[in-house]
Amino acid sequence: MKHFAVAGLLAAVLAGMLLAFPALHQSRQAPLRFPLLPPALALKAMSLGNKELAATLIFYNAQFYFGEKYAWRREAPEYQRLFAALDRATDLDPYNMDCYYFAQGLFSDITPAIPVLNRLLEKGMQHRPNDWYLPFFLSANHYFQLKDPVTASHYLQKAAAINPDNAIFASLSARMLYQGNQTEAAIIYLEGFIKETNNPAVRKKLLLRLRALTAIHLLENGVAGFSKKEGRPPRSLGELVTAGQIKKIPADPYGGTFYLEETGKVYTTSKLTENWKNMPTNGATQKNRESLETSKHRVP
Amino acid sequence: MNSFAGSWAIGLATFKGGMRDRLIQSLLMAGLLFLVSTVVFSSFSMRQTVEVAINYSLSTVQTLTILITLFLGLNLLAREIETRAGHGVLSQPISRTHYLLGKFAGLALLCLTVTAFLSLCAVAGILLVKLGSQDAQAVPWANFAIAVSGILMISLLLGAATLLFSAVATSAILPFLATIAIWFIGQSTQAVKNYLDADLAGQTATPALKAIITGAYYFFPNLSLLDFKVYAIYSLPVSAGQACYALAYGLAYTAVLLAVAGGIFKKRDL
Repeated sequence: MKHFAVAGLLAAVLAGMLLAFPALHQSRQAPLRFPLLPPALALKAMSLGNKELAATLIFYNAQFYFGEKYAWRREAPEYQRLFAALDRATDLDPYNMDCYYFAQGLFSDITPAIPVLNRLLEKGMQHRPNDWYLPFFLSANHYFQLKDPVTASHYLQKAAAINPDNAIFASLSARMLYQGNQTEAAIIYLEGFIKETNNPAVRKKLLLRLRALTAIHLLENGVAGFSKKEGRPPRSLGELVTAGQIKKIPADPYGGTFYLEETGKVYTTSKLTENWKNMPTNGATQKNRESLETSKHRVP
Repeated sequence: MNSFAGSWAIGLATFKGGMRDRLIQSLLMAGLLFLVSTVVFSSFSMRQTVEVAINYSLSTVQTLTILITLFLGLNLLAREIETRAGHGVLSQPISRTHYLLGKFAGLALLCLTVTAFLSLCAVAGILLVKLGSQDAQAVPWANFAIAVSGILMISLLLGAATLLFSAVATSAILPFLATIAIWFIGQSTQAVKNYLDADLAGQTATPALKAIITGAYYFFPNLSLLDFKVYAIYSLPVSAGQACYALAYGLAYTAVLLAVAGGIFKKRDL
């Protein structure tokens, strides 16, 4: 009986500590860093014949890290380490679709990361030739980020060949060859991706992107309507409001300000390359490298 | 007593003794808990919950089966020699080789039982995940069975290795460490050889190192040849020839290990 009383007392002390734990955790957060992983060969050996499970664990770790860092702590994630981890995981298990899907969700709007992201997706295509998602992702990256509609269309046709039942591929493929409707195509693509993903952190990131694109689409339509009505392009976005084309200039969800270039294109001052700046430019195009140096980034 | 009947009697006694072992019972309980957790583990996947469930289940089955084989294998011979518990049986009219074969037969029966039990738990876990998943893709049960056969073969091979090292050693520590080393090396040699063949090591791979790696590749058991998990996880096609060759290789390697173990144990001064 005496033992039970002591155990009960200790349990009460423990319960008190547990109640205080969330507040303590909030106030004294240790820095959250994503670990650097050993080479794939070492990971294979250490997995003792369970390299597919090791790849899944790396993916889970990356997913949890991103969720905590981006959605909970609201800090900039270490994108390069995350990419290295997903690359390592797909070296261990090149069939792991979660890794490719997560990588596309994280890096497809970071222009300097596109060349390495595309290489990762190409690795996936080699091992998952019947998965239409991978050519679909590659197509989107070539179209929206690398501004190469011909290659994008080529990948989309591959996706259409794998999944002929989905009419959107053929429709988008045709649209890509018609450069004008980029924003609308981007919205369709993102809406599809958001609908499919079940990861709240990735969905949150993409919804932000979607909101930015929807705002730009609204402004582009306003510019087109103004030009048609007045016979000249507007001098600024404010003119769209004055002329009654739009009620107000929407806010850039990334914190920047939308403005109109002399060419009539809508731009934003927000920085969309996030913290990929330290990424070695190995393989990145000159255009992408230049885009790191300027604070004005076209959306998308 | 007929030698084979004697071996069989030892095998049955080993099997019954193993099933009563508390270690095996606790490991089986741990296995059951692991497999129940399949549902939780796979729920974190973004797009491949069923694949993750198969991956997790097969890895759990493999790791637990190998660990159980290792600990039981050590108890069978190394501890018996250490404690002189087997001397009573060895004084009977049965050759040491048949004694060893009987021990291995018992170990093989235990491996088979453990693998079958854990695989059934794995099937239940996968079906549970499949029920809750919107993924319409069918589970490749034939590939799953081949993967489980591969796991069983790896366990038998490592069990034979434990007996071989136990026949040489005077304590249980050496067979334990040596079998762990064989497990580690056996599942790595293929990856290391591929790495060297693809010329990824550059100038660090000297001709001497390449020769050592190639020697190790052929000398040590190639456990990745017996690893069919990836085929079961992603429904990749497996040819019957490929599976039969791997299993035949495993059996042949196990037979060689047992023959060497028998030869050494026969001449050993107990």
